[in-house]
Amino acid sequence: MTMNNAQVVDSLEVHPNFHLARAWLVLVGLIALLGLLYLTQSTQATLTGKRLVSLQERLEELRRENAQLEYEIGVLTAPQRLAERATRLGLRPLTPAQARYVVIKDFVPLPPAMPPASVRNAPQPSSTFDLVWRELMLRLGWHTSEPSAAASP
Amino acid sequence: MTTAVLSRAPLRMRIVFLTLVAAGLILAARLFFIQIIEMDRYSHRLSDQVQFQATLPARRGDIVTADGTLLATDVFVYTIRATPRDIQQPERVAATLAPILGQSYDAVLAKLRSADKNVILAQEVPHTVARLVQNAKERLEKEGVALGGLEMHVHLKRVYPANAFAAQVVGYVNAMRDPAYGIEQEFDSTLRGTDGRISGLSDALRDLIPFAVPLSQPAVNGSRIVLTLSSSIQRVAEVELGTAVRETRASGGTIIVLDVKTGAILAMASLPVADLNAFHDPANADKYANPAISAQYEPGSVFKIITVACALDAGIVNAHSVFEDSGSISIGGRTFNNPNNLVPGRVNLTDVLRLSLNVEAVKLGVGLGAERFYRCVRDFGFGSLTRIELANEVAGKVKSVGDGEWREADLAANTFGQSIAVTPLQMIMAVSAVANHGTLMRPYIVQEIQPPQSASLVSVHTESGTEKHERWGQRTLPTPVRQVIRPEVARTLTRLLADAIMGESSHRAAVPGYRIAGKTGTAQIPIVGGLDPRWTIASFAGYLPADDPRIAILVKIDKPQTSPWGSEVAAPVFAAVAKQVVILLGIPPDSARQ
Repeated sequence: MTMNNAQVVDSLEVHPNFHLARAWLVLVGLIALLGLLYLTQSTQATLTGKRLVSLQERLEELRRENAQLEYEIGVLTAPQRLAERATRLGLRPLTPAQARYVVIKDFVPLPPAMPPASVRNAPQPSSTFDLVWRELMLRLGWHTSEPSAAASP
Repeated sequence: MTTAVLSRAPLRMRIVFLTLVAAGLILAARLFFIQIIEMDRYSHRLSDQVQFQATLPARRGDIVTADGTLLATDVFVYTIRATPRDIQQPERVAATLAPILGQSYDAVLAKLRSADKNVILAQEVPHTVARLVQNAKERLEKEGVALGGLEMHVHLKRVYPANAFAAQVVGYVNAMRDPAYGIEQEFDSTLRGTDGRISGLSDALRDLIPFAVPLSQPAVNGSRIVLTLSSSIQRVAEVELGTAVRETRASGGTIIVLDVKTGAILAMASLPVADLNAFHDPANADKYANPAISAQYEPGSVFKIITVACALDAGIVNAHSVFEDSGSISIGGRTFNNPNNLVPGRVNLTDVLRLSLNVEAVKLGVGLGAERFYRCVRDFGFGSLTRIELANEVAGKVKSVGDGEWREADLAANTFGQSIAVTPLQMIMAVSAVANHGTLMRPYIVQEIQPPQSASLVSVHTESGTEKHERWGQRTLPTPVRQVIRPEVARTLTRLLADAIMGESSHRAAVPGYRIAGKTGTAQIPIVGGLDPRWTIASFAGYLPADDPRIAILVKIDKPQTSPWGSEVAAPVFAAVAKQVVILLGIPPDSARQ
């Protein structure tokens, strides 16, 4: 079986398939996009991680500094130290003879200190789920405590 | 086909081909060995190299007084180490670090030039100084001085800012983070907290690589414990006790101040004591136990309050009873005399308390009978733990009929506080039961336990022994133990005690403007084979205002040398403490309240 020249030329002629080419192009573009997305995400995650580590370090640094400051305040306000400073300033403890009491007629003394009503009447969590749920609601600012009318002193 | 091609190939090509195949097989075998057989070992080595793991230490909770004075806290301290061979320009480094570390240039230089592989430049360096060292290190490195050999290691240290203040209540934590005595020991698990962890990938320098958000479990710090102690009242107690012990040349002593209505301890001071930051000094080893709860003593005549209370409650006497006191009485083969061999003749109950008549106390005990007397004594809390939240409490010793040790003479001796062992806390709790209308309260020294994140307080009921100890959130509620005597009996006894004190215009326990109730005690100290002929324990237990008691105070002075008597040694200390406590608590004098 032989082909004439026209048939040979016809068989060699390229018939571009635009559909196939577009599909390949889209595929390559998609892969590139996915790659870009992945790179962006991983870069973002790395940067966030780095920022988080940095913030955690800063937080830890501040915690340590805070602990040191609390201790120094504790040393400076120790009763012995305060008493010495007060004495140097010329202060002296009050004696009963120096105290003057004013009698206020019909004064109703305050009731003894009690915890806040919301604490006393806080519903008892029946399970870990309840506890977690209430904590979540509190953190979201949605209070789940009972109406305060029930909390009489 | 391959065989045919190979058979046609030249010899050299065949050799090369077979060599390549053999090498491939060897590599494959090696890979199989590494990846399959030795997989665990290599994966561990890999994970050791790339995994970053560190512990985040939890801070132990603070201990504070009710008014916020910090008694115990954790601080971060640093150990600064150097590897001399990795330090460039040691002269320059020494010149920079010496002033920061507070050491001489020569001392630092000597360490940096040491032949040792590793040297400690400074220990227990506070955070502020460590930060200066870190800044100096970074500055030197920027200037081209290699300081790879300079390292800082951080750890937590327990410190006590108020030194010896309330030391026996607080207790201490040693360098190994093990607690001893007081709140530190009793609430160790509450104070300790839980360490956190941080994990991720590390680089060659073992630092965390932030490829991803590191998995971390934050440390949960320990809870903060708020005591019922008032720092002002505690200081008054410590100062007055120190003065009394010094002036009477006593071996030690104890003062307890408590709120009679709740049982809350406002002050608890004992001597000798030592700085909590110096627990490692062997000379201080025996100064941290709390004698207020762990030292037993024979209370002496203070105990007559209990004997009279039991007799009044049983109805064998009343406030108007009159007695004929001959000055001595024989029970169980032993003769008991009044103090100073007093023969007072006709006396009433107020006289019995005022003159501290042993003979009448014995008669009351005998009138009650051993069974009723000991039941009443035990109801007042003697012979059992008060269950205050402090470590190492002891129960004292109350003999019982039929326990093998008890003799008839013991009943007589017990009525005036001899041959019975109590703790100072038991004694003042029993006296405060009289002040509190006959109701014995459970003493408590922890007002509140604040969780590290205290946003969610919940009501908690804790079961403790046979009694429920009710708390809200982590706050302790006053807990009555039992009604020991009837309220009217308590009122009568308070009046008798107050009359006994106020009847003497120069009583040394008197507090101007306030009617007080109380009793002195002068107890002999038991030694092997009898009682110590030389030393006594002088004490005073009382409360005020007598018409509406708010506070009870126990003063106990051990082995005073200036006088053996509670009326001369302990009563003035009671007055000195009470005068200041009424001011601090804002308790108006009787004239302003009536």
